[in-house]
Amino acid sequence: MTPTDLLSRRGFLAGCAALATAPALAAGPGDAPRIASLDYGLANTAMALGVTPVGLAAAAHWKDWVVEPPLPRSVVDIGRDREVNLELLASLRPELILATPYVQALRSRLEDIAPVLSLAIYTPDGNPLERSYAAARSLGERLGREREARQFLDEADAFLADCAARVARAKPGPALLINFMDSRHARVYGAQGLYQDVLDRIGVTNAWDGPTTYWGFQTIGLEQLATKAGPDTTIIAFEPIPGDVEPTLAQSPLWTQLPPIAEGRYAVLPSVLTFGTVPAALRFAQLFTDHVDPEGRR
Amino acid sequence: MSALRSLSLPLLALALAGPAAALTYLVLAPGLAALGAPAGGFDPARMLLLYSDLPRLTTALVAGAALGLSGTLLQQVLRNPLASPTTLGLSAGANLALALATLYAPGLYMFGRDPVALAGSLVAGLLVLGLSARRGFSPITLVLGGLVVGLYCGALASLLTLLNDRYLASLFIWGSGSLQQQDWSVPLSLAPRVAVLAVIAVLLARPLTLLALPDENTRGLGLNTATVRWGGAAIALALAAVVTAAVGVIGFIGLIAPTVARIAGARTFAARLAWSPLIGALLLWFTDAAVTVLSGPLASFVPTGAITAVFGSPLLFLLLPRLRVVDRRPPADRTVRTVRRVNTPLVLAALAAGLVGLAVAAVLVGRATDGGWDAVTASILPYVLDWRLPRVLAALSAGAMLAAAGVILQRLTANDMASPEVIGVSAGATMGLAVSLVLVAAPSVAMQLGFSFTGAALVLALIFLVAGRSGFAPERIVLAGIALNAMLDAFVGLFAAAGDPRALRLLNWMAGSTYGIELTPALTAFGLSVGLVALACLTMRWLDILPLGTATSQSLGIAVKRTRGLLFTAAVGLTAAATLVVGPLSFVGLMAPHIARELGLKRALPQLLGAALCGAALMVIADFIGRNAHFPYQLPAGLLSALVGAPFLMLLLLKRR
Repeated sequence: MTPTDLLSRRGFLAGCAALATAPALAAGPGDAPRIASLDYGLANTAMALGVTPVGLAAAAHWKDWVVEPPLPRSVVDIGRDREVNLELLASLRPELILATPYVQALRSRLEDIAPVLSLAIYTPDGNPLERSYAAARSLGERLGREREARQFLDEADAFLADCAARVARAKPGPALLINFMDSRHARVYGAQGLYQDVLDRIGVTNAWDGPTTYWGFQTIGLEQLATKAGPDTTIIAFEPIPGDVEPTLAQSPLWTQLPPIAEGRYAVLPSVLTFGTVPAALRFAQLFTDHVDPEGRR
Repeated sequence: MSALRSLSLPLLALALAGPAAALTYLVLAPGLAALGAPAGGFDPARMLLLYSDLPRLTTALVAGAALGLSGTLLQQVLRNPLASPTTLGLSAGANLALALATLYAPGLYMFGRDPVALAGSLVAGLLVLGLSARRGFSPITLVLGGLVVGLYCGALASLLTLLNDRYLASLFIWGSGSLQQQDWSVPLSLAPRVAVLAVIAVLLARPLTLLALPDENTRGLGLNTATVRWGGAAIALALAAVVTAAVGVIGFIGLIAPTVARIAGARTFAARLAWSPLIGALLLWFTDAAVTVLSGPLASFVPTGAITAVFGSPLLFLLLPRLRVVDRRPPADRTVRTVRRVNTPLVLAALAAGLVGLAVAAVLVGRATDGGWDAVTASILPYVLDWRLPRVLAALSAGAMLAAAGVILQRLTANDMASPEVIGVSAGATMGLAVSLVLVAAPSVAMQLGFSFTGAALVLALIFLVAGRSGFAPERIVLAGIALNAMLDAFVGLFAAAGDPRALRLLNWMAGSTYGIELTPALTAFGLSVGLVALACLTMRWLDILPLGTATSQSLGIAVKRTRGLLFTAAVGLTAAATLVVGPLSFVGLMAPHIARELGLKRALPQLLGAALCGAALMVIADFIGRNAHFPYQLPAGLLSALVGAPFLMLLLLKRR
């Protein structure tokens, strides 16, 4: 069973549970509170707690960035996060709007429409996974789904512990996590990022020990991987990969002779929401663990 | 500068090559040591030397030489010391074409990136030449035309980026010119192309030399000047395009190299033809080596092209005082044109009525929540007023202010390509905002305002400092603005290529969206626009006289220096206030004065009022389109007005005799 299966089933269970408890926002028993979200990560968490947003910024691109779980067709696209369509948002009559400090400038306009819950995940202080846990708890409180939140986070802990156990058996070397920008440049993920926190939890060394921004990545020329790719390093690239990247790299001795490439320790994994929350962390943990321990896949 | 002039060319080359070699040694040392050791397995130091450092060094040398050569050729065929792939918009055109192809027609890359880049450069180049042809390719008009086309390409690229923010970093890496390499494919494909073009340039050297002579003389020598001119321009364009296709936009090397060569003593075209590519190669080598050495400790991704632009654009600024400034009078009536007699009050009244109608419609008509069109019903009117009215008011005010600033600047510089966007105050305000984003994670609106005003004020001070000495010669101020705009571009490029999420925020602001404006600031902007335009009306007498030239103005009893200073301050105030609302990239200040004149409003006061009304109407339309065309997504009014305004202006200029 994948975490996303878990999530959707839990979503169903959460819906049932809501019948018993007295949700803070739901108008009546069984009603999911009407929320709108300006952030994929928070929407993702809310869905894990069984609340599907009625409106979501840039909903049209969810399938490319977040992939799982699929977004129900009922979710209305309210425009780009920094310039959501206020008229459309108001017409959805949300009871709560989820936002991050990234869209702080909109706060007062949003508050004219509905109360705003602003949760910071990516800050100069780091620890995005810990902050994502805290955000899930806050969301649970605010949505009247504390129990679901507790259960979700317990299961997340259990899932990460399971991944850690599988990783400990598979004993993979250090990992380099990248997104290709073009055939000469990539983003590499490191300190202060969500992936880093997950790697720490499941016991994998990040081969990128260089500096990163507080969003947890650094833009590099691909040649910079050469000094970090040791004899047992694995390189993981996330989709999407621009079309001309792989043919160009196939001709580059620096790339083809890189130990992880030459020895086949290179994999392309499906897209994961880079600046996501707990569900993105679980998705990454699952994809990574399944890659290093294919037999353990469930 | 005088020290630079006294240096002989070989000494200058050595002065560049020495530090470049030293920095390169720092980079290559570990690899060179590894070469000596017996090869065994994957040695990162050795592989990096062979497949990254050396190809990168080669690419820097070849690209630098190509750009230096391109700039030299352009300066010769256009007889313009400011011509270069950067200032003529050639690189921007190539870059836009590549961005378009990446997003919408990746299949075009089947034939490589070169044809796409060439097509982009060609379109941009033809546009610039077309725009300036009617002015006899005068240096100012040509460079301003280049700026317009460059800004237009930049505006389009920004819009593409905003609509495809997933590709943000990729597009900006290309736009900022990174020289990083992982194999020899780039230098090995670039070098032969550049070599072939260089050989053709050398073969054309003699006829090209003769181009410096007046046309009458060259015709006497039996030279088909047009053919030679177009040939030289074509080579220069191809050089710029292949470099952009290979590594992206490397700003300003093509301007700096020939200028430095000239100042250092390359008096003849043949000498410049030899020295500019060398200096270009050395400059780019030095810059790239410095970037490589410094980017480690700086701990961030630094594209070399953005650095050459950051450091190159101020150099242009420093070179300005060296340029010959002629007190140009407008050519005695260029056209035999029947002066249409128009009823000025009637035209103005019609414009005012039209503007009011447009503004009301823009508030009341919009998209319904299901995406269909809908007029506002009374029940939701309060909400709609709350959200739409501030935006319409702000757009209207900004348009009026930019238009008024445009009239002042165009009359002041006797140059109908001048505009508030060009004097660089908008760029200064934007840089102020960028600084606030760097210093504070989430600056408040008041803080943003403070920073952008400071930026605008600093630019104003700079303009006074640099241009004040020359009695505000219009050419210098306009060209100083170009340097600032280029600096801003470089700065933003640097920021965005590193993939910093705050870059998106800066882009949003640069795009000139009215989205975030609330009622009080909108009302303030409206009051400000009415007040400032009214003040500008008081300057109408000066505006009628100053274009006649310094001598005439003085004989009519105007203290030219002080008057120009006052007028520039007024234009800067108008521009700064408007820029805070719709960002630095709008062509309203450029086109509204033209529309007013086309409507028959020739004298200063009617033109000012007419232009303000037209500018206001244009921004209201742009904002309306922005709110509704891509519903529920919003498109920024500033960029939209640029997309509509620039082609309009080009048509206008081409239509004129």
